[in-house]
Amino acid sequence: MEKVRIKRFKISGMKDLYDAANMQYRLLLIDGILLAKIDFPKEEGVIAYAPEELKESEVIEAIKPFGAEDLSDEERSYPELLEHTFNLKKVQKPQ
Amino acid sequence: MAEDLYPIASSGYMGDLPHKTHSLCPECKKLLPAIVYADGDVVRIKKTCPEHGEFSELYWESIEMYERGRKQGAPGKIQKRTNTPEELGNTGLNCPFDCGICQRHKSHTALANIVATNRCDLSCWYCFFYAKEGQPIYEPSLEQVRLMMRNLRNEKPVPCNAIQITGGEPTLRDDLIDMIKIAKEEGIGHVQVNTDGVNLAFKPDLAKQIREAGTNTIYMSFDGVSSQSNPKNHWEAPYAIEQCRKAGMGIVLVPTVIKGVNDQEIGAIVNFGLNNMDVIRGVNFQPVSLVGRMPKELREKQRITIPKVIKNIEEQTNGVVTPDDFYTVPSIHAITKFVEAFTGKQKYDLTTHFACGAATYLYKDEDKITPITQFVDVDGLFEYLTEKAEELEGGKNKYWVGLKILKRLGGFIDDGKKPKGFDLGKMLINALLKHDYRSLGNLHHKLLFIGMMHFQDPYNYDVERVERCCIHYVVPDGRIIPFCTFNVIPEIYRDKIQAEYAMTAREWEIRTGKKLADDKYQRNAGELAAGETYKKAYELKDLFKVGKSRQGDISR
Repeated sequence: MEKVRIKRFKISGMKDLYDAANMQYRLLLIDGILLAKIDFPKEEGVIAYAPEELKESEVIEAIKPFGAEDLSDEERSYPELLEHTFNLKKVQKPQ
Repeated sequence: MAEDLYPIASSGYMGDLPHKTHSLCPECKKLLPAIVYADGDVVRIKKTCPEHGEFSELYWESIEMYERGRKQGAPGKIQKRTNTPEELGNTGLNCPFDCGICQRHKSHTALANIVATNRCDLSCWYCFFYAKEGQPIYEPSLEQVRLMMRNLRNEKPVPCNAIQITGGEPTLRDDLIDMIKIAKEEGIGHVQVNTDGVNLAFKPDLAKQIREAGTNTIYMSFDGVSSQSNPKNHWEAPYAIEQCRKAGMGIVLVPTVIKGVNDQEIGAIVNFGLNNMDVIRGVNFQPVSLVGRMPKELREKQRITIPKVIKNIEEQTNGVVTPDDFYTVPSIHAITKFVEAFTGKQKYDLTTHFACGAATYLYKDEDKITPITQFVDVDGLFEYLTEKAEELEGGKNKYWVGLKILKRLGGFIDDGKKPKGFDLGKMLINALLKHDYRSLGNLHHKLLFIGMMHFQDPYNYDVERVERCCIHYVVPDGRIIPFCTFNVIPEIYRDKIQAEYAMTAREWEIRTGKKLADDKYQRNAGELAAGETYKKAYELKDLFKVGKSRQGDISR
């Protein structure tokens, strides 16, 4: 996979931490959503999804029932995101 | 209702019973508050799903052992380098849906599983790991394998130094040897291969090649000494063991214990290990994890927990091995704490939850079996090392502390009870102060490790255990995921990730020019049972003097 899209959104209707955790679980069940994070204290969410598997409109449909307000959607290089976030970049081969 | 106990329940790791934690609804996987509580002589966990009602499940089958274990818990080790994307938030606030590893996690990776393939040569009805007919094939490339290993070596503060290549059946991969070599190239100290042993038994050079590539241990499934208890590899195990013996490669036997199925052979398995100590290094019992939906009656029929396995060992070894001989995994933290204070460096630290595992060592002197704890004052030693670690942390001179230890260490060994030629004091001094572990290594031929590790399922799920898990899976997208989230919530971890990196069965067949059906093993039990290796393997000395019937009748 070469490209990944990052969608950020605001949520104001979450009752508690359990509600947020369960929303995150529900979103992660959807094919094409690679990573999801619902932050209850900050009342926001972020999803990384594969544009080849999931259209942006489908992502919006998925977050709508949770009262989410769409904020942004940006394209990123998937290998770069992985390198950057998963500590794969600055690895030194042992001697 | 679980809520009734809330006002009086403790919170925070190692708190008294009743104790607040979090769990999952086994039906919808909703995160729920839960209570771990005493119920008669046992410990149970209870939670209530607003949609699916209350679930109460056996947690530990002895309050006494739970209380002893609780006191052996260790503080966590905060991870300085997490493996969840920071820009997506990695607070672990939504544990266990944030793996991994996140800022909330409290143990480093002690052993990382790398799934080599989901193909398998067997088709065990209860197994959820292997690819059924037509299902996608997950086999990370060697390049991905290397990246995963680097990712592990890059963990901070303690880089992962032990991996397990697992499956499916990893020996089905033609490039398994390359995977082992990559692990060594990337600086992984300990490599073990988890196998059913079938290919080891029948491919004459495989064990030797695996050993020469750098594998330390074979982790082999072995559910009993009779064919009834161990239909998986009863006939093949003796041949696999023989091949490992020739290759000079140690084996850890791994029985999955199911109540009513093989719990009557726990002592016989220990006896089998002791009879083959030249090659078998340990037995690691795994009480069954009841994955998938299961009615309560069936769960109660099959559920067994660590204390009951330990009690069965006592009963089935004629009282030679007792519950007091077992220590929970985090109790070893006392040694780590001391070595860290002495060297000023962060070390491997098993800060796993006390309810996850327990272990002991059995010393074999001729035919006499003695648990090491019966001549070593383990509690006293751990307490003393903790005290000395605190002195070092307080600024005392390390050479002065070292001298005090030299003087005092022998006092923890009961000379009257210790076996002849056993100089643990010298070995500990070499290991603790000189970091020379050779003499401990030589003990392998006299000591048999008896351990147990209880992996969770949705019914007994405890999020406090998850956040201290030290047995992880590393996956190609860079995440390092605790065992009990990877396998208990497969729909968002194992199955989802593997599907992402898998190919269709047809594509695999085209790429490799092979047929998946050819992987499957066809047994000729009669021929195997007629072999001398088979007969010899099950002609066991009754070391615990329990009588033939308790040794496990191989003819059943």
